[in-house]
Amino acid sequence: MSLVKGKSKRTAVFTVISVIIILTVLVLNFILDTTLRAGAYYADMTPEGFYTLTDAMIEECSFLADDDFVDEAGNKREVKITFCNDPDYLIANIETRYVYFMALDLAKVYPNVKVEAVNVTMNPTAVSEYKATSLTKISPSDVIVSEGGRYRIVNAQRFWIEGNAYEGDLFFNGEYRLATLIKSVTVMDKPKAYFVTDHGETYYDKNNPESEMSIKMSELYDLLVGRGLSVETLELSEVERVPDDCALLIINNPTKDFSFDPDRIDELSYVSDTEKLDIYLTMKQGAIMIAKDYEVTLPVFEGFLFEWGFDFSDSKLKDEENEIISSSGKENLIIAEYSKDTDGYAYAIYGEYADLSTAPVTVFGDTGAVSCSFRDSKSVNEPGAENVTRNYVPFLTTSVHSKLYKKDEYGEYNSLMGDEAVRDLAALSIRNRSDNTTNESYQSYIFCTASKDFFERDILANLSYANYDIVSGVINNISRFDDYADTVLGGNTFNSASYGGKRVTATHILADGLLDSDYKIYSNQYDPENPKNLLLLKTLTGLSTVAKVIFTVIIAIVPTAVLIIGAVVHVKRRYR
Amino acid sequence: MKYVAKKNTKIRILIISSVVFSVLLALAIVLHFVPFGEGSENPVEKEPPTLMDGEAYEKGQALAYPSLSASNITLISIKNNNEKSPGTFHFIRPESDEEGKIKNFEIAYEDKNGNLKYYYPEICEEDYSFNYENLYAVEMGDSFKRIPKLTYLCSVLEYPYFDERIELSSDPLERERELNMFSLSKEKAQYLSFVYTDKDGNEKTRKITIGDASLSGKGYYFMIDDRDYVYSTSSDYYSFALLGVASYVRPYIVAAGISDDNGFGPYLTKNYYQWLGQMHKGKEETVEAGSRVIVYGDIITPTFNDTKNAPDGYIRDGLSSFELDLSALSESGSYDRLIKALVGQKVGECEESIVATLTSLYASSKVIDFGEKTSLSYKYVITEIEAVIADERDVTEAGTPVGENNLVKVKYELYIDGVLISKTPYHAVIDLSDNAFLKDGFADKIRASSVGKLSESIEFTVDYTKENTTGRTVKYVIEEIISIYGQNGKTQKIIDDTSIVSYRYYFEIDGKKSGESITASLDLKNIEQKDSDVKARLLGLEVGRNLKIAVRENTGYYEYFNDFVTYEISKIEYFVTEELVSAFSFVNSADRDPYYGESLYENLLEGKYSLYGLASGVCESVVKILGGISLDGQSSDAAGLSGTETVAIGLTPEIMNEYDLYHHRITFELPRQIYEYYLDETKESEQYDSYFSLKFTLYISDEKPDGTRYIASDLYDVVTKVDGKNFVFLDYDFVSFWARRYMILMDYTEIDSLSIEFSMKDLVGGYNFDLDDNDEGKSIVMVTPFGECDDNRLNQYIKENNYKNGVSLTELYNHYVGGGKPTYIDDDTMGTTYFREALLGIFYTQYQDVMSKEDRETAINESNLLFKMTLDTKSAAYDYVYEFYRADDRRVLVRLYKQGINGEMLSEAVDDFYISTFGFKKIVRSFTYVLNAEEFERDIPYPNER
Repeated sequence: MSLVKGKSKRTAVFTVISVIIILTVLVLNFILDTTLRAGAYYADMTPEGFYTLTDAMIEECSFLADDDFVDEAGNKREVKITFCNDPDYLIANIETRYVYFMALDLAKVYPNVKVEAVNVTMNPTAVSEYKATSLTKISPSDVIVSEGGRYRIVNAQRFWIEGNAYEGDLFFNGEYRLATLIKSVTVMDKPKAYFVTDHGETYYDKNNPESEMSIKMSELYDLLVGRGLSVETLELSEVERVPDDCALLIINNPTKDFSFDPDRIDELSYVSDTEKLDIYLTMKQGAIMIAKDYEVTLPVFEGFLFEWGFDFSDSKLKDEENEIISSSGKENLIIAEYSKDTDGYAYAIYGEYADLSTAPVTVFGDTGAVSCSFRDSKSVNEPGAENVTRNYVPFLTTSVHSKLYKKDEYGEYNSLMGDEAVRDLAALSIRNRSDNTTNESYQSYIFCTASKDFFERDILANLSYANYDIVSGVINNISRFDDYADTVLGGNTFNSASYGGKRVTATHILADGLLDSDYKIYSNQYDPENPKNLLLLKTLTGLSTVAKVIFTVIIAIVPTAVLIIGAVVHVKRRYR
Repeated sequence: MKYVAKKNTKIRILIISSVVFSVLLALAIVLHFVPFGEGSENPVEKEPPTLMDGEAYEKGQALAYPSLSASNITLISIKNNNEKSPGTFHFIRPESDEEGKIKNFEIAYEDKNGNLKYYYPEICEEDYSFNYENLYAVEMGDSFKRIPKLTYLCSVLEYPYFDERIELSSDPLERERELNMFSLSKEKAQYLSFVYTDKDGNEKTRKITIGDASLSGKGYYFMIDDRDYVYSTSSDYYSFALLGVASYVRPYIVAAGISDDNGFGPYLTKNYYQWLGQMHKGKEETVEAGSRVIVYGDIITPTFNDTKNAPDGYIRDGLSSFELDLSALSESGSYDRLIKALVGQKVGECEESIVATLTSLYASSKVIDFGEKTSLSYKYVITEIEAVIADERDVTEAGTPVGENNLVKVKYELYIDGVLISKTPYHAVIDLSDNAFLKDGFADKIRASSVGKLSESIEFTVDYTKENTTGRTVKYVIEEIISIYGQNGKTQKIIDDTSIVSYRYYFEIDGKKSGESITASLDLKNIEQKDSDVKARLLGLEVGRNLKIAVRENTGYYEYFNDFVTYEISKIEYFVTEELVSAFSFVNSADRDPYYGESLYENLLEGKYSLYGLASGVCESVVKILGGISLDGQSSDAAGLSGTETVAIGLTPEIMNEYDLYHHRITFELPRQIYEYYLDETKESEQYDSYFSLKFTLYISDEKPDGTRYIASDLYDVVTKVDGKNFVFLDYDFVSFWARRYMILMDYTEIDSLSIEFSMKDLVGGYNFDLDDNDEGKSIVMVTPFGECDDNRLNQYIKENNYKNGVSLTELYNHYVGGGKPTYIDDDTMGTTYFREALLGIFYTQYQDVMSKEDRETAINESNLLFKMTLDTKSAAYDYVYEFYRADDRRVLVRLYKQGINGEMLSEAVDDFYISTFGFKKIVRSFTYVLNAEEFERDIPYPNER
């Protein structure tokens, strides 16, 4: 009351009112801010309703609401969409803004979709569960979609695509991308890794974990489980096909060749064991990890691998200038060289290691060499196919000084073969199929090494080597089991093709509906009169309706009202 | 205290200033009196040495002789004693032309036998744009990388400055020791002499003896003429005088492209042949027909001049090693006797020298020059029977009777119209079966004689007239006018005698082309009188090909006595057999066989491998390497192929052997002055050809342990060293490297029909697909089943409709997919589109790899035949038949051959490759989809599994 003391009564009243108004504004501001944040309420002020979720997207993700979308315990499965920055940053950035709002909209429709924004710069441990290797980097512009133990990390840029027909134009492909990510992490409730067992392989036997063989493979088993895979065994010759839930097939150190029925191989309908692998790799995104002993010759299996890009020698590899003695002191371990090709697949997996000046080493014990079976190229078209390639990728190599030794007359590996050279210790074959309709690429992978004990405990469990991280990175990258959204969500359209589609350029996004510029809305169909162009639906110029309302209120009505009130007060006071 | 402190400070400043000043003063005095030593940045100029006779002082430097201009030097001779590059060689400046223009030095060297050889490689003649100066090796150690080494050498001769003159001891022993110390003794020194024209126009010679590099490591010791002292110089350019002749020659292998061709020359390479050679040195090995034989011996030809150099009437090349390419020699037909003599001979010293005489039908030495006369009387006085020429070799043993042998080598004196022509004896081969020798019993007399000197000479007289001699018509035929340069540059027509004409010609004898075509240039302005008829015929002609213009015609009249050449071979050093690995030629799209239509290059191999198309990309990369185009796409300039250094000049057998050059041989024609043309006025399809070409033969070694190879180029006549990484293609055979890996790759519209036959356990039947165009120009595919067929929609439909001549795929798909309504994909019917997809599935199937011979033999068995495909193309009178045999779980062997219209095999089958079972099943499945009117995607191999 000291504020009003000594003042006139009117002054005191106005002072109190002012204080109340200020406090009210503050309180309202707080309430509104809290409510908007909590409820993700926002106003889409664009003329075209960019932030709306299309019916097609809702339909595509309707499986989230299905009654059978539950885990083993009967609980509703929950999809989490994690943005790696604070909301204000997400909104400020045009690439993340649309994705963020789309995710929030989806969360409104399907309550089991949770959206969170985590500042990974301030709180990096919040996303540590999504790091495939200890050095995996997660960027603030990344979006992580996860369900159970499976996740996909995608940069926000991937929600946009550049149009072929309209160079420089960006197209928002977000609904297709988000639906695909959600489908990919939810397609299998329990993706499995299978150890093939019927060729004398070394595998992990869940039923006999204390066996010597299981103990050898226990570290890989733990790694697989840690990557969200449940582990099973598979007798390939006893099944018609590799099971649908197989996210990773492991053929570890086979000692017997793959079999086929010689009486039936002249039948078109006969499927041999290696053809089962063909089917697995070509029908979806198959992934196989193979460790093969260079000393064991398996003509049929090697014939299969040859077609997929791998040529095995039966010679022992030595890299004497680049070896260390194992901790047991029993054998020499070759130190692998990391690829420095920053655009290469191998670098994508372990680039963090390759960049370190004192990188932890990846080692190979008793090993042979793998080389590319494709003649003068690292890439060939799959037989009969036009948009399918098989690509050989060196993964880990020796130094330039490695030598190959064949068995001499005494059965010892002492007979030098060829010159000193860089040789591949492990390599990948990547089958890539491009879909011209969706611009989507589908990949299958085979990881191969000629070191029979590469996946065994002695090496994987030794934390002084990078082997665990490298294998973890490989598993994480190749054991993808993606499913894809319907193509109706894809293509070069904005939001949805089913409703005419909208094309937007980067300029338009920046303009964001508030500036007076040409605004073209296109169909996703081509113009019948000019088939090279999309059909133009309409061209807008000037401000959007909402903007016009806001501008009218802010620019015209408020000042006018203030002016009128001021005039009235002025006149009243003067002629009172 | 403050005052005291201030005072101390002042004193300290004064003391320090004094010390600094004193030090600077002392330094100035010392530096003034003490000169800087050697190596200082500011050397003190030395007093010039006192000049002796013949020396000069120019531009502040002492010269061993007055400076001169390189343009006045006419000859530089270098005798090199060092171990690395011993030998003697010369730089010889030809006389200036009529306009006084000074010509560039030409290089000459002495071979191992001391014979002087000019380095004037064929490229100088073959490439009209070639400049001899381009052959000079440039110094890559300087910052310019374009100044010839010869220029550096000349600079030494032009301006021979020296730093010190060192007197030599008068004591002979001490003097020898001193010369040894500077490596100027006779055994160690390098000798350089040069001839120049002095200011007065007199020709003078100077001799420079060059020793070691100076003790300081910079500069050399040298002596001039017969002066009795040694000069030291800081010039390093004397090192150029220590180089071998090869170092002065640029390591060219293949010529750079010309700007007119924009780098496209190599792509249009024609007649590329690559051989893999094997050298046979074993003493038990015997010479094989068609091999290249390196022999040691002599080549002897009779002379017809009275010369002191050939008192016995024979000119001998001299004993040396030389190569006889039996394959090339056999083509001419004139060397059969020599070939017979060599084939089957053991490598090594011959137990008895091989002597083989070859007669030359068109030798000019036996031409009768009637002049104005109508008849000439020839009297041959035979004094000796030198040899009886048997089928395999000459029999020279004295006393051997001529008997029934027809060919006899004789020595004789020749009188024409009663005048003895030459005191030097003449030699000829006479063929006693010739009726002309029946006259006066001459043939009988010879037959009654024996090899050796005749106790009584035998005469043969004949009055030659143009009627009774052998007359042969020799024509000089121009087949192509390549280019014409007139006063205003390049023109199309020879308007006047100011033109310079490049043209290609050949000789025609008695209506038959003799030898290969020759490219020549003629400056009509400077044409010699004897060629005036050629000039007259050329005027008015235009640039063009296939001209066949006879510009000169002569008739030659020949004696009955034949000229000859005799080979005397005492040793077969070794022989080389060669296997043709690859052969191809650029072919225009209009000239291609549609079956191989996708490839720029035509397979020139003969035999079964001619069936395989070529991997166009492989051929292209090889011709790019040879043409000097960067493989990594960094440069599209045809920079030509060069080595890193020239290691030898002259492709003698010794050098070929030393550098291991018998391993690989490549010949090819590099086009020059490409032009484009069109087949019709629509100008839709560009075709290319060139006005002329350079034909190279390269001899290449195996890769050496350091990763290099040696390559010799015939047109440049040098052996060079190259980085071997681009030449790994030499190590592959045809099938594994050069052969096209696509089973079929051709234009769909060129297919007339395709017949397929399934013979699998669960799939049998034959179907013929006939391709035709409907009225709208669209393809229609009629399918007719044959033989025993499994049930499918096609067979059902045909049966239901009682069709006799098959059904079109359009109708089949319309029925089953369209429900009776037309079905389309894009602008074609669904039936035709899916048939085309099935074909594309085959086109995109590559051979997986080569199958071993043992596996091939096992696989090719009637019981293993799974599928057969017969392809009939529109332009060929035969079919291509593909048979697919099961080899094992993963492999299906492909056998290919040509088949005539009656089903007969027209070619040997090839069966080197297999395809994967994966690819095979995909092909078969795609046809089953078509026969069942089903839709399918080629990129999805197992659609039912998805």
